[in-house]
Amino acid sequence: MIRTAAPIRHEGHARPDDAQALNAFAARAAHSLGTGVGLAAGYAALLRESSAERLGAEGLAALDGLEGGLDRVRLFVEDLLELAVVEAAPVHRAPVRVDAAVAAAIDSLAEPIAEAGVGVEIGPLPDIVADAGLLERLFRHLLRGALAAIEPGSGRIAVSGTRHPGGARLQVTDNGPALAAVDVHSLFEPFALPRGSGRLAGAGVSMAICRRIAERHGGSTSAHSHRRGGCAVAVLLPGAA
Amino acid sequence: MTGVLVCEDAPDMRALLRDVLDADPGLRVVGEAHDGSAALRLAGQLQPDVVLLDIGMPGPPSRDVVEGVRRVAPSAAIVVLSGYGPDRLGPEASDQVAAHLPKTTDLATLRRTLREAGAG
Repeated sequence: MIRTAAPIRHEGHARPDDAQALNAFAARAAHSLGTGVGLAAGYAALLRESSAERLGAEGLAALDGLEGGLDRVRLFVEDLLELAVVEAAPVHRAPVRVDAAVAAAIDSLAEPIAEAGVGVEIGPLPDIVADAGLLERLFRHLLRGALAAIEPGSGRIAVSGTRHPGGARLQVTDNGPALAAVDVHSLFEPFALPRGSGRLAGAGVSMAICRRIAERHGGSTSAHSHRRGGCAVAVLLPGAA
Repeated sequence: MTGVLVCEDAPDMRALLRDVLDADPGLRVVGEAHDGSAALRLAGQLQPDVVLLDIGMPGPPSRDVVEGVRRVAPSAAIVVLSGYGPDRLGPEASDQVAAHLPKTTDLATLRRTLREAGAG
């Protein structure tokens, strides 16, 4: 990670009432939008299946564009749904291998990782006590946030973790563009301006999902960025050791 | 061939699912239900391989529909296709569901999930 003298740092916490109201909104919005997106994407896929020959190259290119746009909305809707699920899911704490959670998260992102030509460096990771499903979601969103931010071809992402008597600290670092102070402060807010503008940026709720997962474990998130570039997002999980 | 009972209250979504499933040689729509009561009645009458279930339809609560389908069509797999997350069903009913897919699921995944669920 590139370090300069003046990192910009922010820790994220949500008020419980805000989180519940957002959860209710996210669930309703995901339900309403999901049906519309499902219909549009379904008929686009049927059109491709049944009429590809008649559409010709020009028609297929237009269909590619249509499906690309729908795919972005799909990810947006699924992010909303995930925000609601993370809020409502019971937390089952048990001993869990962090390296397995990271591997599963990387596996779920194999396609965008390959497209970006990015190397994910995995450092030593401790075994901790946490909810295995939520931990995998946590890393999926941390990695997705980093992937959305980095430059294809020259991106680097590093995953690390340490355990101490009070808990565990898990961190994902990337070499994407530096974040302005205002963006660091809003990084963990729902619908924050996402890092990057590609498909993976989604609804801008990935970091909010990370924060809620940390909070549901009694923990917190923090981020720091440097003027010369790069961002590190850390998750503190007390009692996880 | 996997016989699927489509349970969905939105007519346009039901029509899409019918088109999507009928275009797959391994799947066949054996019936359509527009609410929870019809889902229970048709599941018992038709004994489908798979019940494709929207949750949040009019009629009995979704968790009651899941438990009712288990009772009237014990060999049918239940695949939920919904804009709601699994939390809407609660843990006990969720455990009786073979798969829970968002409505944004792509066709290939939907068809594969239904075939696999029908195959047990």
